[in-house]
Amino acid sequence: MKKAVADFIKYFDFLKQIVLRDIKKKYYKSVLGVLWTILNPLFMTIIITLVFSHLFKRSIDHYPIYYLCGTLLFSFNSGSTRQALHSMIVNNGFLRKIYVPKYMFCLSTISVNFVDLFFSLLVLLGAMLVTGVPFTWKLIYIPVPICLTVLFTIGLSLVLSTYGVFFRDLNHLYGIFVTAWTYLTPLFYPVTAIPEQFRVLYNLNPMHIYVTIMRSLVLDAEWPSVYMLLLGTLYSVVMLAIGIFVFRKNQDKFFLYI
Amino acid sequence: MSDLSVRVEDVSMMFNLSRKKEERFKEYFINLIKGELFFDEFWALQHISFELRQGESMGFVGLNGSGKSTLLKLISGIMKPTKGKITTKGSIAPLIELGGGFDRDLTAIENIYLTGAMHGHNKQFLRSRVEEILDFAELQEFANVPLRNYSSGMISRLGFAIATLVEADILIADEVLSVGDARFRKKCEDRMQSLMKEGTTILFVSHSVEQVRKVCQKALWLEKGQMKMIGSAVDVTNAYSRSLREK
Repeated sequence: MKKAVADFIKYFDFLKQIVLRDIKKKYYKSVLGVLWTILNPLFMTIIITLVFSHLFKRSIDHYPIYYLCGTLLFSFNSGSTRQALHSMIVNNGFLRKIYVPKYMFCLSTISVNFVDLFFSLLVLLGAMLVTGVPFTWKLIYIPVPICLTVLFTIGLSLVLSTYGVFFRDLNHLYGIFVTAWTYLTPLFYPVTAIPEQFRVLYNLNPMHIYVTIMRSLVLDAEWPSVYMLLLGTLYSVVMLAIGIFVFRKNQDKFFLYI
Repeated sequence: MSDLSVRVEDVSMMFNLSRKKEERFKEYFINLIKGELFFDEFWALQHISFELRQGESMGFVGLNGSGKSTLLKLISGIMKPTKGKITTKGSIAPLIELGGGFDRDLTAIENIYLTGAMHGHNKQFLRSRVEEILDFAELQEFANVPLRNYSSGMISRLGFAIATLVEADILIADEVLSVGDARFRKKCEDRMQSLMKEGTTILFVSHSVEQVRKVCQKALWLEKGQMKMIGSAVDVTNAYSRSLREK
């Protein structure tokens, strides 16, 4: 434990460097560069709003905000996990050369996506100004659903990056899974569109819980039910624990497969 | 025993070589259900033991596939041994697969910060050393060129410069002196000998018997993963050369 903390501090600069590298590479040679982190969610929101807001006019107020609240958390999770899945393979140059804590590569993909999340938040605040959604004190609790999502994402990323090393098929399989997950999470359609008898099942979807907490803070200016908060926390903690366990158990075998 | 630098105690390393690589996914589930192993066990190293004191240097000789690189990777901590124990004291600078951690899209300077951080150095320290590294690698005028446009020799030079210019207690070098032209090779050899004088322990793999004799005091001869001979560099390399001639 003590060694793990010392390792983390020693290699924290390395984490910063690979995050910087990944951000640089992401916008390599693009004219607008980092500006895309703002333009991306902005255009996506405009498109989705144009397409769906008419359809769900009666059930959703402030459609752009409704959509953004959900999608910024969901894109963070799906982006991080999809990249984390092959983070060990992509970085095999490092892993074969020298000892570095391997989870750093997972954390770096998550950090890069977190930067995107941060800029999406700015877009959200901007959109609230434009559409006239009131700013309330409840907004200062936004870090709660974000933290829960981050913890859950770290756990899931650790699991995926581990099995991504052993089974290369997982990459494709998970792509399909994420597509299904996107549609099964009420991101652009209202929760009320789900038949009553299936709504309990939606509580099995951690992302749905986090999105619900986020929306209730931003749009309704109130906390969701305690049940939702506890369930969300439970999912995050359990997923993180599973992630750490799986990763630690298998990390010494990675070099045989990369 | 306070100046002990590297201790390798009865180390063995086994690899599972799967027979049909392309069927791994299917095989895995069959294995899982049957609870059987379909792997061929391959012992890359068996019962290796030796000790090195601070400032000593050891060369490793042997044919391809005798386990030299595996042993160095175990000592540098990239892999863990199947059996046995390895203890090292102090920081390690591994020169294995030079340039392995480099990113071809980044410039030399950006790569110095990246791989330097990988070796566990902080930014201020690296900033003070950037010039020195570029000088040694003779890449001053290409400092802001992406590595994509470098020749393989230039990349190896940069790799060597980064790994050796920062102080390390143990230097692990795998075939590094085979890079670059004769002049740079000479520079590398000088650099390694001066490191040794400063008290750096050196573990050195080379196919060139002359280089081992030049750089190292001790040598270990590996054959098919077993220790064939250990002793002074001159004795071991002589015996090794003789066996090569006989074959």
